[in-house]
Amino acid sequence: MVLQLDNLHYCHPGQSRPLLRIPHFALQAGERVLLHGPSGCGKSTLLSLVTGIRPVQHGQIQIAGETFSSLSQRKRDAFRADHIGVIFQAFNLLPYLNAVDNVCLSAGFSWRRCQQERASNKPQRNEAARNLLGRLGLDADTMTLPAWQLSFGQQQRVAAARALFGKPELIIADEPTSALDSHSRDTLLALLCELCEQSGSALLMVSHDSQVAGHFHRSVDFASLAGEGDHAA
Amino acid sequence: MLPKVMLASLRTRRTSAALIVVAIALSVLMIVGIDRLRHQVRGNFASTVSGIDLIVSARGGPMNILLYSVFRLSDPTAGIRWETVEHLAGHEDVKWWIPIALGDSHRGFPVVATNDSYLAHYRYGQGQSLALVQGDWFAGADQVVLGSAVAERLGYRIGDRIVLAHGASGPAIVEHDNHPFTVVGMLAPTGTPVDQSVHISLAGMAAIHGAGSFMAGLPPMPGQQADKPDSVNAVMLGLERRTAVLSLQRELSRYDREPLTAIIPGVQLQRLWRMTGTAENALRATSLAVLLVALLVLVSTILAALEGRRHELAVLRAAGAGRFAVYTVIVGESLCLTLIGCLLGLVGLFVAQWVLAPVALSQWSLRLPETFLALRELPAMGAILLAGSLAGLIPAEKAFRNSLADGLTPRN
Repeated sequence: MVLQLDNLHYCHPGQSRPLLRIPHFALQAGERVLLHGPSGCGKSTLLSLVTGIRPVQHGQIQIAGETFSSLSQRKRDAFRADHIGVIFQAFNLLPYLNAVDNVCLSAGFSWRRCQQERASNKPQRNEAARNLLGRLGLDADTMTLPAWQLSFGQQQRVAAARALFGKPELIIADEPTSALDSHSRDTLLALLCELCEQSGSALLMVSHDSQVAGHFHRSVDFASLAGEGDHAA
Repeated sequence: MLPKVMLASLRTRRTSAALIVVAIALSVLMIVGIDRLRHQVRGNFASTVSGIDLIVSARGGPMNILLYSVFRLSDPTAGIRWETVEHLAGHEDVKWWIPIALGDSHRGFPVVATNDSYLAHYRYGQGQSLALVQGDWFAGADQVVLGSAVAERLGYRIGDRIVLAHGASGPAIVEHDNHPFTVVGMLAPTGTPVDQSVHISLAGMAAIHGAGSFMAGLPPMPGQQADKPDSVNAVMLGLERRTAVLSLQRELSRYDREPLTAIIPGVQLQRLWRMTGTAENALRATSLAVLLVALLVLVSTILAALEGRRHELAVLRAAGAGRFAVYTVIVGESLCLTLIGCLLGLVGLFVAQWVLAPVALSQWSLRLPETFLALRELPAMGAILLAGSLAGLIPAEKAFRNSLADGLTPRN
């Protein structure tokens, strides 16, 4: 079990009605799951909890065998660096760094990821990053451009490469393809799924778009999480 | 990785960063500059009197005696009789003595009448003696030796003939034009009031006032001792033993043939600095206020930039940055800006010192420091750097809280 949520409740500060109520939800190692639901249903909040940026108020999150939700903020940050890759909807990159440096950001916060890539020094890390970017279809010239000069599709590929660097157990993606046309969307998702497969990472992606469900092992309606649990796709 | 991120991010905001750096540089320049000037002025004053144990003058205010006799900043008191000077010269504790007679001027520069012991015994700085760059010390009553600033400002050469005016300063009311003097020597720069002085012999001084028998460049009449005028304004004394200073000072204050005051220049200088301390503190408070404003600008600029950097910080957080990394990026930035500001301020000050040094020496007889950073300034610089990095703590904490409130994806 790479991710397991139990009895998770979350209220915004000052509100009594829970925004999020998940009795049970689990992700197997290497499993790819799509969570779909309308905007504003609490998907982003769930991802903030799962990535440990926001503290869990009630309930339990286990990631890679660790009771993640009971760790301190500092340990959660370190744990995220080691075990979780994150892809946003947009603004994934530091605009003033090039693609390779953006990918190596993950390496800068996690020694474990460097070891996974067998990259103990900077040239080796850069080489691993270039390799990963190449597999995601970026050519060598594009990799050295500052990120703000890349197209949106290219930026999302760099973001995917950063999330995948060091083969983390879990990749969290928050509508990474919502700004892409359907062709680019499918290309990116196919690449992402392929690389997750290769590195053995589980993928949890949230989207309002259930058309992409074909890329995933399971598709779960966000609203159904509050009820009995998972529905097989 | 983090320093690289910090510097690259800073480069995208280089205009506001440059303005902060300039603000910090200016305040550093003010703080250090004022401190150095103060230190240097004190050093210069102390250097001027460094070799003198006692200054004896007619009874008067000690501060006035110090200011007129050495620094020529005040009006001389009445003279002391030549018999008294001879008494001092013959005193067993006295090693050397320099008579000083004032009251005349040449184009705004004070005229100092003295004798050969001035050249032989006057010491400034770390015991340096006066040196002639051109010509010789005066030998005759119609000869003058110029201080370096006088020579430079008025452009005189050896052999030029000059006329002295009666009165210490301002427009000459009576010009002693029946006694033209000849320039015979020029002194090397000392960074003391000596540079601003015109030196003549006591006989010369006596002659132009018609008290002696020396007239119109003629040699003294037989039987007249031209080197012994009626009176002088002050006598600088060097003692055999410095320990005798206090007892001699007491003894002279009880001198029964005329009322005298003897002052210890170093002690009097300390009193002077206590008097000027308030003004110095006001200046220092002003420059501290400037630094405070610069630091507030630093804090507010970094805070204002945070709003636009939410995505940047979210990316870092998602990649695994914790509180420490966020603090490193933000505090590192403020420390970096403060450091560059400090360096720029010091470089600016160094260049200013270098450019102004010749002017300061010739116009104000002030030797400017040549240091880039003195050891005693290190605590102040350290405090400024510390304040600069502490200033980054507020934005750093705010940035970290923002990232918690934003969760994974920041609001647009």
